[in-house]
Amino acid sequence: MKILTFRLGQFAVAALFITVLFRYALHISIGAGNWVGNSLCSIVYFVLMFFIGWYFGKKDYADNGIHDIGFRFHITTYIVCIGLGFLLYYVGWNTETPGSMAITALSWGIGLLVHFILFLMEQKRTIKGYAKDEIFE
Amino acid sequence: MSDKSIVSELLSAWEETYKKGQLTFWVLLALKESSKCVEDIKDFVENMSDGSMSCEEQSLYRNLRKFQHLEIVSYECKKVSKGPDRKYYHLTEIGKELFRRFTERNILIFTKKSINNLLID
Repeated sequence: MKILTFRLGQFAVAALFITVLFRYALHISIGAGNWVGNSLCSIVYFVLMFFIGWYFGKKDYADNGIHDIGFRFHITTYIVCIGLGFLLYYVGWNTETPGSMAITALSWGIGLLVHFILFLMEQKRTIKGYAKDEIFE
Repeated sequence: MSDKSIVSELLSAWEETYKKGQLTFWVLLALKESSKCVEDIKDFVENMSDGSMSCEEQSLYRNLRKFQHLEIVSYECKKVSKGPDRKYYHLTEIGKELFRRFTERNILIFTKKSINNLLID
Protein backbone atom coordinates (compact mmCIF):
# COMPACT_ATOMS: atom_id res chain seq x y z
CA MET A 1 0.00 0.00 0.00
CA LYS A 2 1.19 3.47 -0.79
CA ILE A 3 1.42 5.18 2.60
CA LEU A 4 2.85 8.63 1.97
CA THR A 5 0.85 10.65 -0.51
CA PHE A 6 0.99 14.26 -1.61
CA ARG A 7 -2.34 15.08 0.06
CA LEU A 8 -1.25 13.45 3.32
CA GLY A 9 1.87 15.62 3.20
CA GLN A 10 -0.26 18.72 2.64
CA PHE A 11 -2.46 17.70 5.56
CA ALA A 12 0.57 17.15 7.84
CA VAL A 13 1.96 20.60 7.02
CA ALA A 14 -1.43 22.26 7.58
CA ALA A 15 -1.94 20.34 10.85
CA LEU A 16 1.53 21.34 12.01
CA PHE A 17 0.82 24.99 11.26
CA ILE A 18 -2.58 24.98 12.97
CA THR A 19 -1.20 23.11 16.01
CA VAL A 20 1.62 25.63 16.46
CA LEU A 21 -0.93 28.48 16.24
CA PHE A 22 -3.20 26.69 18.72
CA ARG A 23 -0.40 26.05 21.18
CA TYR A 24 0.76 29.67 20.89
CA ALA A 25 -2.79 30.97 21.50
CA LEU A 26 -3.05 28.59 24.45
CA HIS A 27 0.32 29.80 25.76
CA ILE A 28 -0.92 33.43 25.72
CA SER A 29 -4.33 32.51 27.08
CA ILE A 30 -3.00 30.39 29.97
CA GLY A 31 -0.44 33.09 30.76
CA ALA A 32 -3.28 35.61 31.08
CA GLY A 33 -5.44 33.19 33.08
CA ASN A 34 -8.20 33.50 30.49
CA TRP A 35 -10.16 30.25 30.82
CA VAL A 36 -12.82 31.30 28.31
CA GLY A 37 -10.00 31.94 25.84
CA ASN A 38 -8.60 28.46 26.51
CA SER A 39 -11.93 26.83 25.72
CA LEU A 40 -12.42 28.99 22.64
CA CYS A 41 -8.93 28.09 21.33
CA SER A 42 -9.68 24.39 21.80
CA ILE A 43 -13.02 24.60 19.99
CA VAL A 44 -11.55 26.54 17.04
CA TYR A 45 -8.62 24.10 16.92
CA PHE A 46 -10.95 21.11 16.85
CA VAL A 47 -13.10 22.62 14.08
CA LEU A 48 -10.07 23.56 11.95
CA MET A 49 -8.43 20.15 12.37
CA PHE A 50 -11.68 18.41 11.51
CA PHE A 51 -12.11 20.58 8.42
CA ILE A 52 -8.58 20.04 7.03
CA GLY A 53 -8.81 16.30 7.74
CA TRP A 54 -12.10 16.13 5.88
CA TYR A 55 -10.84 18.31 3.00
CA PHE A 56 -7.47 16.64 2.37
CA GLY A 57 -8.85 13.17 3.13
CA LYS A 58 -11.49 13.60 0.46
CA LYS A 59 -8.90 14.89 -2.04
CA ASP A 60 -6.55 12.04 -1.18
CA TYR A 61 -9.25 9.46 -1.82
CA ALA A 62 -10.19 11.10 -5.12
CA ASP A 63 -6.52 11.10 -6.23
CA ASN A 64 -5.42 7.70 -5.02
CA GLY A 65 -8.46 5.67 -3.96
CA ILE A 66 -6.54 4.14 -1.05
CA HIS A 67 -8.94 2.31 1.24
CA ASP A 68 -7.49 2.78 4.74
CA ILE A 69 -10.63 3.97 6.59
CA GLY A 70 -8.78 7.18 7.48
CA PHE A 71 -6.04 5.47 9.49
CA ARG A 72 -3.08 7.25 7.82
CA PHE A 73 -4.67 10.63 8.52
CA HIS A 74 -5.52 9.63 12.08
CA ILE A 75 -2.00 8.53 12.97
CA THR A 76 -0.56 11.66 11.33
CA THR A 77 -2.88 13.82 13.47
CA TYR A 78 -1.84 11.88 16.58
CA ILE A 79 1.87 12.32 15.90
CA VAL A 80 1.53 16.04 15.11
CA CYS A 81 -0.78 16.91 18.03
CA ILE A 82 0.87 14.85 20.73
CA GLY A 83 4.44 15.24 19.50
CA LEU A 84 4.20 18.99 19.08
CA GLY A 85 2.39 19.33 22.43
CA PHE A 86 5.31 17.73 24.29
CA LEU A 87 7.92 19.54 22.19
CA LEU A 88 6.46 22.98 22.83
CA TYR A 89 6.08 22.25 26.54
CA TYR A 90 9.78 21.49 26.78
CA VAL A 91 10.55 24.60 24.71
CA GLY A 92 8.94 26.51 27.56
CA TRP A 93 5.48 27.48 26.31
CA ASN A 94 2.61 27.62 28.81
CA THR A 95 0.51 24.64 27.92
CA GLU A 96 -0.93 21.51 29.49
CA THR A 97 1.12 19.72 32.11
CA PRO A 98 3.11 16.65 31.00
CA GLY A 99 0.78 14.49 33.13
CA SER A 100 -2.30 15.80 31.35
CA MET A 101 -0.64 15.35 27.96
CA ALA A 102 0.38 11.80 28.87
CA ILE A 103 -3.24 10.97 29.78
CA THR A 104 -4.39 12.44 26.44
CA ALA A 105 -1.69 10.50 24.59
CA LEU A 106 -2.67 7.27 26.34
CA SER A 107 -6.44 7.54 25.95
CA TRP A 108 -6.14 8.74 22.36
CA GLY A 109 -3.55 6.00 21.79
CA ILE A 110 -6.13 3.39 22.83
CA GLY A 111 -8.55 4.88 20.27
CA LEU A 112 -5.79 4.81 17.69
CA LEU A 113 -5.08 1.17 18.48
CA VAL A 114 -8.75 0.28 17.98
CA HIS A 115 -8.67 2.15 14.67
CA PHE A 116 -5.53 0.22 13.71
CA ILE A 117 -7.24 -3.11 14.44
CA LEU A 118 -10.24 -2.07 12.33
CA PHE A 119 -7.83 -0.97 9.60
CA LEU A 120 -6.11 -4.38 9.63
CA MET A 121 -9.49 -6.14 9.47
CA GLU A 122 -10.53 -3.95 6.55
CA GLN A 123 -7.34 -4.83 4.66
CA LYS A 124 -8.79 -8.30 4.01
CA ARG A 125 -11.21 -6.57 1.66
CA THR A 126 -8.38 -4.95 -0.31
CA ILE A 127 -5.56 -5.70 -2.72
CA LYS A 128 -2.49 -3.60 -1.92
CA GLY A 129 -4.69 -1.09 -0.11
CA TYR A 130 -7.37 -0.77 -2.82
CA ALA A 131 -10.89 -2.02 -2.09
CA LYS A 132 -11.45 -5.04 -4.35
CA ASP A 133 -14.83 -3.79 -5.55
CA GLU A 134 -13.44 -0.36 -6.45
CA ILE A 135 -10.32 -1.32 -8.42
CA PHE A 136 -11.93 -1.79 -11.80
CA GLU A 137 -14.26 0.78 -13.33
CA MET B 1 -45.29 5.04 -23.25
CA SER B 2 -44.70 3.48 -26.68
CA ASP B 3 -42.82 0.21 -27.14
CA LYS B 4 -40.04 2.09 -28.90
CA SER B 5 -39.42 4.48 -26.03
CA ILE B 6 -39.58 1.63 -23.49
CA VAL B 7 -36.91 -0.22 -25.46
CA SER B 8 -34.77 2.94 -25.58
CA GLU B 9 -35.06 3.46 -21.85
CA LEU B 10 -34.37 -0.18 -21.08
CA LEU B 11 -31.39 -0.09 -23.45
CA SER B 12 -29.94 2.96 -21.67
CA ALA B 13 -30.41 1.34 -18.28
CA TRP B 14 -28.84 -1.93 -19.46
CA GLU B 15 -25.91 -0.16 -21.12
CA GLU B 16 -25.29 1.89 -18.02
CA THR B 17 -24.93 -1.28 -15.99
CA TYR B 18 -23.07 -3.15 -18.73
CA LYS B 19 -20.47 -0.41 -19.15
CA LYS B 20 -19.50 -0.50 -15.50
CA GLY B 21 -16.19 -2.29 -15.39
CA GLN B 22 -15.66 -1.95 -19.15
CA LEU B 23 -13.23 0.96 -18.97
CA THR B 24 -10.48 -1.27 -17.60
CA PHE B 25 -10.90 -3.66 -20.53
CA TRP B 26 -10.61 -0.88 -23.09
CA VAL B 27 -7.65 0.76 -21.37
CA LEU B 28 -5.73 -2.51 -21.14
CA LEU B 29 -6.66 -3.34 -24.74
CA ALA B 30 -5.24 0.02 -25.81
CA LEU B 31 -2.01 -0.70 -23.95
CA LYS B 32 -1.82 -4.22 -25.36
CA GLU B 33 -1.62 -2.69 -28.82
CA SER B 34 1.29 -0.38 -27.88
CA SER B 35 2.47 1.97 -25.16
CA LYS B 36 0.39 5.12 -25.10
CA CYS B 37 -0.02 8.43 -23.32
CA VAL B 38 -3.36 9.35 -21.74
CA GLU B 39 -4.58 11.30 -24.77
CA ASP B 40 -3.79 8.36 -27.07
CA ILE B 41 -5.59 5.93 -24.74
CA LYS B 42 -8.66 8.17 -24.73
CA ASP B 43 -8.64 8.37 -28.55
CA PHE B 44 -8.17 4.61 -28.85
CA VAL B 45 -11.07 3.84 -26.50
CA GLU B 46 -13.45 6.23 -28.21
CA ASN B 47 -12.51 5.25 -31.75
CA MET B 48 -12.28 1.49 -31.28
CA SER B 49 -15.57 1.31 -29.40
CA ASP B 50 -17.26 3.35 -32.15
CA GLY B 51 -18.02 6.02 -29.57
CA SER B 52 -19.99 3.70 -27.30
CA MET B 53 -17.35 4.17 -24.59
CA SER B 54 -16.20 7.59 -23.52
CA CYS B 55 -13.84 8.53 -20.73
CA GLU B 56 -12.62 11.65 -19.03
CA GLU B 57 -8.85 12.19 -18.91
CA GLN B 58 -9.13 12.76 -15.16
CA SER B 59 -10.71 9.35 -14.74
CA LEU B 60 -8.01 7.76 -16.89
CA TYR B 61 -5.25 9.35 -14.82
CA ARG B 62 -6.86 8.12 -11.60
CA ASN B 63 -7.20 4.59 -12.96
CA LEU B 64 -3.68 4.50 -14.39
CA ARG B 65 -2.24 5.69 -11.07
CA LYS B 66 -4.13 2.91 -9.33
CA PHE B 67 -3.03 0.30 -11.90
CA GLN B 68 0.53 1.48 -11.55
CA HIS B 69 0.48 0.93 -7.77
CA LEU B 70 -1.03 -2.49 -8.40
CA GLU B 71 1.78 -3.18 -10.91
CA ILE B 72 -0.64 -3.78 -13.78
CA VAL B 73 0.89 -0.95 -15.80
CA SER B 74 4.13 0.95 -15.75
CA TYR B 75 5.29 4.03 -17.62
CA GLU B 76 8.26 5.78 -19.04
CA CYS B 77 8.63 9.49 -19.64
CA LYS B 78 9.26 10.62 -23.18
CA LYS B 79 10.23 14.05 -24.35
CA VAL B 80 7.77 15.94 -26.51
CA SER B 81 8.51 18.99 -28.62
CA LYS B 82 6.37 21.30 -26.46
CA GLY B 83 5.65 21.22 -22.74
CA PRO B 84 6.76 18.80 -20.02
CA ASP B 85 7.74 15.15 -20.59
CA ARG B 86 4.79 12.88 -21.28
CA LYS B 87 4.12 9.58 -19.51
CA TYR B 88 3.78 6.62 -21.87
CA TYR B 89 2.08 3.68 -20.19
CA HIS B 90 2.56 0.00 -21.03
CA LEU B 91 1.37 -3.31 -19.60
CA THR B 92 3.65 -5.07 -17.13
CA GLU B 93 3.97 -8.87 -17.06
CA ILE B 94 1.24 -8.96 -14.38
CA GLY B 95 -0.94 -6.72 -16.59
CA LYS B 96 -0.41 -8.93 -19.65
CA GLU B 97 -1.25 -12.08 -17.69
CA LEU B 98 -4.30 -10.47 -16.07
CA PHE B 99 -5.61 -9.26 -19.45
CA ARG B 100 -4.95 -12.61 -21.13
CA ARG B 101 -6.82 -14.56 -18.45
CA PHE B 102 -9.69 -12.07 -18.30
CA THR B 103 -10.27 -12.10 -22.06
CA GLU B 104 -9.95 -15.88 -22.18
CA ARG B 105 -12.70 -16.29 -19.58
CA ASN B 106 -15.00 -13.41 -20.44
CA ILE B 107 -14.47 -12.14 -23.98
CA LEU B 108 -13.30 -14.96 -26.22
CA ILE B 109 -16.40 -16.95 -25.33
CA PHE B 110 -18.29 -14.67 -27.73
CA THR B 111 -16.13 -15.88 -30.60
CA LYS B 112 -17.53 -19.43 -30.22
CA LYS B 113 -19.34 -20.31 -33.42
CA SER B 114 -22.57 -21.36 -31.68
CA ILE B 115 -22.81 -18.08 -29.77
CA ASN B 116 -21.70 -16.05 -32.76
CA ASN B 117 -24.46 -17.57 -34.89
CA LEU B 118 -27.04 -16.60 -32.30
CA LEU B 119 -25.69 -13.06 -32.09
CA ILE B 120 -25.83 -12.38 -35.81
CA ASP B 121 -29.13 -14.19 -36.31
